[in-house]
Amino acid sequence: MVLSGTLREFILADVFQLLTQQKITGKLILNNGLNEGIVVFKNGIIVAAEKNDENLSNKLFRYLVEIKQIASNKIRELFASHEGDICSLTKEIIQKGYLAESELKFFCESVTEDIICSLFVWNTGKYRFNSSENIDSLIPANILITSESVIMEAMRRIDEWNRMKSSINENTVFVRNQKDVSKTNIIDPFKATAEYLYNLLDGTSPVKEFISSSCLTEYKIYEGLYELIQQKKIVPLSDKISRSVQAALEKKKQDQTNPVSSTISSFVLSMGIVALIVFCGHFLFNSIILFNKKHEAHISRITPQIKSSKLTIHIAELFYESYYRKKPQTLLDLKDFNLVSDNDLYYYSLEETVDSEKNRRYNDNSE
Amino acid sequence: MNQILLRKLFLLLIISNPFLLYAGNSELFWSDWIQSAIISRESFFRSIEIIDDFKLDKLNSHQKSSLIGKMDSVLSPDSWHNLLYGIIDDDESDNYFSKALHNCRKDPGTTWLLFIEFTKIKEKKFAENALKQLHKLLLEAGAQSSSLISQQLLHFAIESKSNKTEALEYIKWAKLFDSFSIQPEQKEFWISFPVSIITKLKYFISSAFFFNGHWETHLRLIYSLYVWFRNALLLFVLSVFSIYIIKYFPSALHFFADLFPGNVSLTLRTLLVSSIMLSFISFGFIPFLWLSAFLIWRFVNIKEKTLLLCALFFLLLTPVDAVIRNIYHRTLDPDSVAMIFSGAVREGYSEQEHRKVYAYCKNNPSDYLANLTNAIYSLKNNNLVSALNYGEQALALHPHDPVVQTNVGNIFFLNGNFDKAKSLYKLASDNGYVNAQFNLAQCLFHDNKTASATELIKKAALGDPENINRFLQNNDEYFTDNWPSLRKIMFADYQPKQFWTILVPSSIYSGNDVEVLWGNSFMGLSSRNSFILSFVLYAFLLIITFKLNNKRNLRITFECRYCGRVICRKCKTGLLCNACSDAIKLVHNEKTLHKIQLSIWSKFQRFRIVRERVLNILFPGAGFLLGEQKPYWISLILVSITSLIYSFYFSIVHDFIIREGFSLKSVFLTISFSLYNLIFIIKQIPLFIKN
Ligand SMILES: [Zn+2]
Ligand SMILES: [Zn+2]
Repeated sequence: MVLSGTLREFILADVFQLLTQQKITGKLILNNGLNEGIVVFKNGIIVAAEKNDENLSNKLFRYLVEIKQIASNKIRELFASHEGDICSLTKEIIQKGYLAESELKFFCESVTEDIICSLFVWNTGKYRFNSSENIDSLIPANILITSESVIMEAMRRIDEWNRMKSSINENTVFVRNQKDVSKTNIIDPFKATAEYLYNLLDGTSPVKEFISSSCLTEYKIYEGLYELIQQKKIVPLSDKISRSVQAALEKKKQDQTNPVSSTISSFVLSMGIVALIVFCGHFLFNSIILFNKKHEAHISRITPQIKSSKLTIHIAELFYESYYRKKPQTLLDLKDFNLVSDNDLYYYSLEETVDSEKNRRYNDNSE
Repeated sequence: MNQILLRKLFLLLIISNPFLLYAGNSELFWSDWIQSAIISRESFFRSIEIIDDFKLDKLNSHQKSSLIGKMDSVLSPDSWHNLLYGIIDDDESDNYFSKALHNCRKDPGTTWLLFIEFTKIKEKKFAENALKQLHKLLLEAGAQSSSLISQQLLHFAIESKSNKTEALEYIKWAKLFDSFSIQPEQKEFWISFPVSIITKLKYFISSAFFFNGHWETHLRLIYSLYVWFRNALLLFVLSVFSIYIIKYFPSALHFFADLFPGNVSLTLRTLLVSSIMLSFISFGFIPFLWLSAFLIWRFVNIKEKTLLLCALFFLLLTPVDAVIRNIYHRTLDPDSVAMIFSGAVREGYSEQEHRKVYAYCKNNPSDYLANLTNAIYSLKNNNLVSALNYGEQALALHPHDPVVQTNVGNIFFLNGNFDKAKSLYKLASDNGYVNAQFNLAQCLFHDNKTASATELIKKAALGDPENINRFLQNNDEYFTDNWPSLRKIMFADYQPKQFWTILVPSSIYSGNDVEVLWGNSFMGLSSRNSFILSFVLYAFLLIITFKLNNKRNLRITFECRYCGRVICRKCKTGLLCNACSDAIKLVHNEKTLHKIQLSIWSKFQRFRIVRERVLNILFPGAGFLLGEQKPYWISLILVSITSLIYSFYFSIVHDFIIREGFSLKSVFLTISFSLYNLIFIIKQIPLFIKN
């Protein structure tokens, strides 16, 4: 049997009912242009579902690592060897005792149901049915879900979805409203979804990251967060910050240019900024705008030193002449006899600059 | 360091330039006398053809006879003839030398030059006589000291460096000629350095803290202590700021670091942004420190906030520092009225200084100190009329000042108006002014009330035994019963305590000069405005620290779990920084993962440890404060001690090495004081080897 058409509202319910009535076995493939979803039927009963961004084996892996605390390297091999055969994977998991059969069944049913319900939200795209008998490897833990119950649940959820989507954006970062001690023991994500999510909040990850990295499905996460929002336990981080997070993420994607060239250009750019600031600060601001203040301060700082140096040199000269009966030829003569110090000579030599400055100011005043 | 190098280069250029010589005309008491004495000596020596390199103490008989022939034509031989006769004629030399001294008994310049010649030909006794005669001349001129003679005597002390007792002898004379100056004491301190610490310390402490001695000495000592303390505070503030800048700039500037392309290494981005921030120093140091304080404020914890607030408080006080430095500079400026006044009281008449203060007085007729100084100079120049005129003006401007009262009283006394003098002396001595008591006694002597006068002098001598007794002793030694008029009374100068209470507020502190000195320290704001602005900023920081503390604050930045670099929620991948998460992206094996984490962590840890060690060597304690491996208080105390010690190094280098030049003693000093650093370096070496 070949069944195909365009997705629109409520058509999926009709398709499901048709397939159930006909007791057909095969895969219903949905495509909304971005994502692809698959629902597997066996004799008209739903036995598995998958969506390319949410699939059971991923969620199961995370569940085992996070909640059951099984070392990831231990089961990574197991998952790799059963790639594409979820049926034997689930059998193996039960056999190895990682999970009890009932628990595994509950997990698979819950995830599958969530995935199917999320497909009901798709309003555009195409569907196509491939009847195929070779579907046993796709069935996890022999679950059975009747389409009536799924349709009813999905109908209920559509409204809720819209409500939740309007208050939760996938890029929003949530933070806790109160400071309280986080519990260290593991919380069952299915029994206490909200509490589990509340503990996961780190104030840095957007909702998107939760969806991709947690063992819960998108719907369960939204539901949990929505509940927390209703209880006022969490608040979204301001839009501005969330948006900048998003922008940075996009930027990260764009930063695929050559690191050497961007390193060099950043370096040159910042050195340019440094030069500009130093130019503005040192030359424009301090040496031109505040030139008078700077200069006068400098002069008032060195003038006393100059005067005392002058006096020292004067006394030294007098001493030299009195003692050696000749005038000193250069300042070196005075220094050679330890009559004056380097410091005195330095400040003495500055006198000329100060004098010229005084003349300049005097001229300014007279004009 | 760089500046010193530049200075040296600059000096090399100017030092050999002969045109820069001659520091201008004499401004000191007696320098005119000495200069004219030099000229007359020169003309005498030229007239008998003795030129530059003529050694007077090694004359052969031929030279002697030719010199006598040249000098024979003189009818009335002056000091120089007598000196030369004395040198030539060994038998009559004492006689001639005495004549030489007698000839110039009214001429301090020639007396001084004779002292030099006597010293050169090693006539110790006559050299001493010359100095005694000079001292008598000093007292006759109504002076107590002559800084010119004192300083030149210090040069003699430097010349005779090898002979310690001789040097100390010269210093003793230098002290006699200027008992107010700190320089002889300093020279004495360094000549007998390690031994002198205890003896001189007493002098320095009593001068600085117990307000003994002259206000200039007191101010110099207080100021050098202040500079030491100020530099220590400066170092402390700078080290605290640099530590927290190193520690928190990466967090504070992370937002800006993220503006660079993400594929540039985070370390480089942080460095670039930090260097951009550091370039704001070019706007001025104080604004930069405030800026960085505000930048890092939200990241520092409460303990560090207290320390930063403490450092900022010292920064707040910089305008006060400008005021103190201004007081020092203005006071010790040789052209300041206070210094000229002090010179007028202590030294004899100097035409230059008189002219200076006269001009100042014309421009600022309401300055009592200028009027008083003018009066004293007029008095010492025997111009009693103008002395009285200016003195009365000074008294009218500042009637309750005991120093004015005493000095104006002196003018009345020398004018013969004893009643007026007495009433002024009484006012001053009621304020406990010892010199006024002494002068009052002189008035009583004049009224032939010998008994009460003697009583008063005894009382005055109890009040200031050193000063009064020296005055009396000198008078007895040089003038016996015939005291010259200027030696009958004592002039009054301010005491160190009065310097702060009277002199500073009335004529030294000047708001305008403080502003000039403050200059562009704070973005061109005036010192008052910048103080107000700093205060507002400070109050703001206080408020946000203690009032808004419990506001829920969101952590904006985190430290990467592997390398510890600062990241934010925008630039991280998962819980790690981009670099670290790239390093482990393709690794799934737990063990390799752990190994990579360990290597990244130890690499950055090593960098941190090296940074702390280097800091601890450069500035002991700073590394501990940065790394927080030692208790907070211990590292804080270490940093404070280091600041004090480094400031001490600076003073040593500045006061000793630059002034006195390099010598064995200075090297010894430098080494002994750098022991502190040495200890820290040695302590760090084994730790370096271990890593
Ligand atoms: Zn990292
Ligand atoms: Zn960032």
